Amino acid sequence: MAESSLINNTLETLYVPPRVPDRFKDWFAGQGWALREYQNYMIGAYERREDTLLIAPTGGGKTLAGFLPSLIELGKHSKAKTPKLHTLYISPLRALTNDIERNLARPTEDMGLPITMGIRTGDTKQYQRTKQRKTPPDILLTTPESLMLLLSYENAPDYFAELQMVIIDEMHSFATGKRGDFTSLALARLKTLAPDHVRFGLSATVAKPQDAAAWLGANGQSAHIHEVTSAAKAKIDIISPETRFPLGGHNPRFAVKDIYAEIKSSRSVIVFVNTRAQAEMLFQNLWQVNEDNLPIGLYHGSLARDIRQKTESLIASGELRAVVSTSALEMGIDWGDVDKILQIGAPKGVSRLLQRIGRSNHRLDEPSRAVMVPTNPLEAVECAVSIDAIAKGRRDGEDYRSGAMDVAVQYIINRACAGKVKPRELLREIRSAWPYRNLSKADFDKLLSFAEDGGYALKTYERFHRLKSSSRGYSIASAQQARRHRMNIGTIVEYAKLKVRRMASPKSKRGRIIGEIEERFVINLNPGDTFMFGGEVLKYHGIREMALQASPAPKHRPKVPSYAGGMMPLSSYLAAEVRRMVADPKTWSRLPDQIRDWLTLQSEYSELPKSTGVLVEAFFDRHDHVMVLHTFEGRKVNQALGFLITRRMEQQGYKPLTFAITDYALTITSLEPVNAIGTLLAPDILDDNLNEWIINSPMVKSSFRRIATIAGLTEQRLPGTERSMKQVTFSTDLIYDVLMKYEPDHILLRIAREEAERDLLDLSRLTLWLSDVQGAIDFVTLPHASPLAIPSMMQLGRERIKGEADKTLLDHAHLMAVGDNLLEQVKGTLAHG
Amino acid sequence: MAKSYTIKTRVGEVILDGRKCAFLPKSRTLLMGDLHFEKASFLQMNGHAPLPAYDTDDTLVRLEHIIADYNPSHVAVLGDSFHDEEAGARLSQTHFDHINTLVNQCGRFTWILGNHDPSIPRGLDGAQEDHLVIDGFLLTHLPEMPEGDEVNICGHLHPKLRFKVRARRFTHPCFARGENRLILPSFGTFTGGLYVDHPAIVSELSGEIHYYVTADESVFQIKA
Repeated sequence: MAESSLINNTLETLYVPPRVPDRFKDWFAGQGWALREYQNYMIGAYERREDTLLIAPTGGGKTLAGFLPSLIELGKHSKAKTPKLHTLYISPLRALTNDIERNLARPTEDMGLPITMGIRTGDTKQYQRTKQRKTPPDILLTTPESLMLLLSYENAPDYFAELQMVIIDEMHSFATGKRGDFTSLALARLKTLAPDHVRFGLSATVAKPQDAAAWLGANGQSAHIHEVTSAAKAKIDIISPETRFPLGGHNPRFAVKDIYAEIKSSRSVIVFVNTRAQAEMLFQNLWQVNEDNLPIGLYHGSLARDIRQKTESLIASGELRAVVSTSALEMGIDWGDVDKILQIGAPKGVSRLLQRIGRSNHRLDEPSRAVMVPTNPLEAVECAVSIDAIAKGRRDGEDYRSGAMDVAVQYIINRACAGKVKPRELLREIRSAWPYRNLSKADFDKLLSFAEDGGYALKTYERFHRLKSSSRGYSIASAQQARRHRMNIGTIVEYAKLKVRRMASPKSKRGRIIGEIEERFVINLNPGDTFMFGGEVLKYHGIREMALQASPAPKHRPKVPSYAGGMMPLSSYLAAEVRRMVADPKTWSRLPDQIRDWLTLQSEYSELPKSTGVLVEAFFDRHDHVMVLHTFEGRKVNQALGFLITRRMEQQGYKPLTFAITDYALTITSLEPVNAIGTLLAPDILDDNLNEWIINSPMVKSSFRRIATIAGLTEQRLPGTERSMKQVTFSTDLIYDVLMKYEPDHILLRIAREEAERDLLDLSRLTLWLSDVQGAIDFVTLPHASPLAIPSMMQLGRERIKGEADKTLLDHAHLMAVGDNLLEQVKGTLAHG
Repeated sequence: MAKSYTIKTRVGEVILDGRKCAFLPKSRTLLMGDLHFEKASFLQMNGHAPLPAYDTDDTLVRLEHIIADYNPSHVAVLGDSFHDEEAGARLSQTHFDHINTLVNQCGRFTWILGNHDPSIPRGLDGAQEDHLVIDGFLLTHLPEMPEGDEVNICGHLHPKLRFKVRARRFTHPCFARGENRLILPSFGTFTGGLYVDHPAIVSELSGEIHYYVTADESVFQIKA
């Protein structure tokens, strides 16, 4: 690896250089490396016992910097009499722990350091777990979920008593979400158990380092920040295909030859796509044009582990020229030889794009190279503005919020599994986690009460409680409850999955498991249907022994081309930039010709959105009347507006059916046409009771489902059996309805409402927007969809309005059936007459 | 939109009610299947705590309203009225008394026994029967083959229908009717459903099959 010029960073002189043992200096020299400035800094930070956030671009030994202090200290020690855990490494990805273990093995073996390492993740075998519990390694590599599990055992205080160091890797990727809240609570517990340890956070570049440092710090003290900037700027281009850009959708097929040419002209390429369906399709399309038989691979999270590992090792050894991948390859794992990144589809955020681009050229001093392949015109504009944003050094703002309440419930139970705890200590400990620093006593009491017995006004029998209380505190009520909790630890609520068994032919008796697929996708398959998986077309036969059985059907076109999912929200910063560019023809010179033509077409057929006000287009499409509001205000504003405007439409008799949102537009379908905007966008729509409308929405119900699972009201998995998600969805919907009816103020309903409002709606920004657009609404009636409306029309995932339209449709279907009955009667009479 | 819909069978009329029950007008008999009293507390007992156990209450209140509307001379519940054999022990005194009040205000009340409730909790009033024959209708819990040419009305299967109207998907509990049989939707508040294309339901229906879905307390015939 080449050494960067960062070594001579003047920062180094500000600090007393830490004592680095000679054998470490020799080892670095032996590798042809010198200790980097920030590696030195971290050694010093550990000596000063300073919690530290290290922000550095991908590559160049960030993780090693985190581990060096531990290696040095452990290297000095002679073998302890009773082994104790010294360093805990937390990674968001299981795969990363394997990778880190391999990378650390080299220096420890080369230098003969007497250090033991262990991995503890969901993949760790039972005998290894038992061994680790008896004899802890010096360094334990784990995930947040496995750490929480370790903390739920009664021996946790002893296990972590001598802990000196906690390293949190890829912190930027999960700290702001529920998984971050979860990790933060685990960290707070560790601080109670071993007050003297030091925390290191390792992160890619972020917009608000101070927030990240506050999250990382212990007991209300922010961590120190050490930031390293990359010397080299990335070189990013937008592809100029010879073929036409599609007007909507997300299919890169039109550019497959250009993509292939990019692969051919590079040493090794990662082709990033946004969804698994895209990965499968593009992989197929690439092989159709692969006249040179270049080794091109496929990688996504649904493929079986052994298949993924094989692909990983092929990339690492440089045997693949290209791999088509979802975000699954975004983090960790160093691919030394990758010299170009292709980004298919819109990047959706500057930070994500940078993370992906960073996968190429793992050297700080050489520019990364990337080519972007937008799959529809709005994505092309989005690509152009993100390139600008990177050049200007802009980042998406991260959203650090107060900690999620459902996660706190899970923590309370976890803590009670490990032994008796008094409410006062518990509250103090939870508050010492930064996201929960402002948790009120009243809310805590409600959460505790929910954890204990559900907290309902209707009291249940003592013997059904999850927690039991005594004067010495709360503890878990039974071993069975503890087992249930441990099997459900975590904040990632997944859809139920079925294994995919590939049979050589329809008549085969046996087959090989090649991956997993969501149950909700399988529900829509009929035997004989074909679909794409693992890079080939398979024919579906049926479900046997909890696995979907399918055999190759290479000559068939897949009837069901995609499975849903993987929709990533666009940062509002980029949304605003896109609007600016669309509204101003003078800036279009930076866009590919075709996109300019498309915008011109829009201005001729309909109108261009202006930089202020809003363009609203109405037309008829297939069955329904459609209205598209081009707000360019981001998903949250569009979502909130969707609820408000459909409520008003319901009141005014338009019978709204659905609304769909993108970052740019809100698309509403209805049974009755909207011919003038009237009072639909009047500011007083905000006065309507939004709450009442939202609580019946599938969106809040699905947020309730996740909350109920995390808070332990329903399980994802039961001991010994995998519970199907279909059942969970069903029963949480029933529970939701019953709670709404009997206890509308219940804490879980409140959490679901607050979460929906916080994560999915932006009412304050909507208020501003509504007052801004008054008097500046361009309402255009068109014979059919405009160029600008097409990408929005092709968006999946619609919020369904439960109102008069449903009843009208059911009435209609009923009348059809009754009409048939009558006709049958007539026929019957004639036949018998 | 109709609150109820009357169908004609070989042996007589049946009124299908959108509130997931049926009424035989000739004998003034009100029918509902699968009440599953105390299901939530059963789940709680088995570690699913802390579910909100409002199901018994909710089921009873709905039952009470329907009885008040129809003023039937006979109420027959078609089995699985109690979720498990210990349900009676978990029933609160209030609910216990409420059930007896309802039972006694009807001229006649019959508990058809089901697989979940081979007997009815001690102290509850009403007759217990394996099956009943009323005006050519054979009332059972499980689908049963009549000895004569009766039409079987049963519960047990919890049918629900998934269908599309103009590209819009719906899933609702339903009545499923074949040539000689009518299967009622489940009535209890915390009861799930089985899609009507499941072999367990398909195998019990012959001849021309009709579905009547219940949504928003209304009933709609839907062609599948």
